[in-house]
Amino acid sequence: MHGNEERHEELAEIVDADERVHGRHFINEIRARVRAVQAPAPFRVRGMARIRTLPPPSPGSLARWREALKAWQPRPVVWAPVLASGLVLSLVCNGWLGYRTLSLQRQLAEPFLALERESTARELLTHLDLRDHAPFFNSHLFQSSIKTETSLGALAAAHPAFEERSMALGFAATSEFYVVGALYAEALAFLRSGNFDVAVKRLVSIEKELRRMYVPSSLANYVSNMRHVLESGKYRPVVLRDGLALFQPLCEEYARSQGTEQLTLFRVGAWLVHMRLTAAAGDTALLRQGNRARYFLHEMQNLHAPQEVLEALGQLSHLVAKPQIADGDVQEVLQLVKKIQTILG
Amino acid sequence: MYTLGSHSQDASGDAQVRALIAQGQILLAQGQTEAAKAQFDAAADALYREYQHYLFVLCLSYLYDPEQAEEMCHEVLSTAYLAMPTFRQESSVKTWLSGICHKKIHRAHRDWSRRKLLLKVQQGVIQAEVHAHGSPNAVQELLEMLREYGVYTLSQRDRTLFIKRYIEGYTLAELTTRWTSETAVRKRLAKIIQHLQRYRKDAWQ
Repeated sequence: MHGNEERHEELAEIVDADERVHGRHFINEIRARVRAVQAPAPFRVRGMARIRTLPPPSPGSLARWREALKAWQPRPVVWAPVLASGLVLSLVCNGWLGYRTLSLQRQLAEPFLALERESTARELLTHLDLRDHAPFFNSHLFQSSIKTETSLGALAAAHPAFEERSMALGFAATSEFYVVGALYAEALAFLRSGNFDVAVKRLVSIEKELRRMYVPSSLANYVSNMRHVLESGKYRPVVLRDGLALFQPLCEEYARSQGTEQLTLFRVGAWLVHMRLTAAAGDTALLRQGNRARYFLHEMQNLHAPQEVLEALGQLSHLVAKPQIADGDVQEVLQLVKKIQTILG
Repeated sequence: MYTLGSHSQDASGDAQVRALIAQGQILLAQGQTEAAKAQFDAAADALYREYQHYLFVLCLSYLYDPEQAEEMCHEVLSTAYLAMPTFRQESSVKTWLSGICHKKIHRAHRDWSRRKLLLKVQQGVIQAEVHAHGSPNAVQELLEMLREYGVYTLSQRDRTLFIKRYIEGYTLAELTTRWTSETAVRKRLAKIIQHLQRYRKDAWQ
């Protein structure tokens, strides 16, 4: 540090000498010329004439503000508590809003985080069935949760959704979406079991039904493309299942655009197939679908479904709402579902 | 006649101008606007008498044109006249005027017409114009010297430093700032002088 100061002093002396010695002539010359320069003769007269045209000088607005600020003496006794309480209030409000937002996000994300784990799908379904007013429907997820020793395809083949001709002609005339939902759930079950041929047949039926309903060509083309992919056999079953599962949101979206009753029919068709498969598999835990059964009963009442269907749905909701479902109840569920499918199909 | 001197030293007219401005401020605060205006007018007259040559040389050094320099001087003194009620007397009158002048000149340098003028100075056209206008010899000689040494080739920062030191008469201590030591100022000035001398040598030999 001390060395640096000495060096700076030495440098300053050199520079000072440089300015005085080397530039001495130049400096003297320019100073002499500067001293010789004078403003033109009428300079002051012209300037004063110009100044007389100006408005009288007055303190500017900035100066006035400055004076006002200087004159203003806030009372610290009054203002300090007000400012402090305002700050505390702001902190509390912001903290509360932040906590509320975060807890809401966590609450909304909770069920979907569980989707990442296949093993928790059953708990998720049960959880959603218990707490949601509008039940959650995902055929792919539901079928993956059914515990069965027999393949789902075999169960679906043993308990087909459509065995007899429709008995309720008036209602069936408007139940195309019910048919599509049931066919879709069966196709998914056959695909899950590796019965690609039967799944292709179901897809053909769906495609025919969709073309008959004059749905947008994109929806029917999706089914057609899925059928071609299944027939080609180039893809793994997991990929095919995921691909076919995407049909549900597409079709539900279209059904919703046609009216909530169409959406309900599509869901009823798929749900009844699921209930029948679950009952056939003997999975009594997953069979507890009390909320969904009540929801569909309510919706079908609004749709003015046949009385037999409503009665059967009432009995079904009563059975599946039990805390413990016995084997006898399972058989009864099977018969009730079969009855409903026979009427609606 | 303009004399070089430190800005902090009390010049002959500084005290008189300060007294006039202070009296005007007091009268203005008392609400006697007419009397205050008379005091401010007298202060403006004193400003013209004491600082007209100083301001004219300063503006000439920057603008290289006597007419524009005179116009700029009037602008500076008009601004000072209007700002007299807010002059806090924390600096000398000369420093106050210098500050106003530098602000106005730097603002004017942004103007395209002034840039064109500087371009003409660089091309040597200004010398012929000075002759054509028949300006006094001292003005002409000063402009020729500035051009001969290539003062316009300096950067804006160096040119300002050069003018403040050798034309306005600031001392080295006055040129130091919070960020620039006196040693740095000396070193910079020496480099500026070397540059100007080298320019003259290369251009005229």
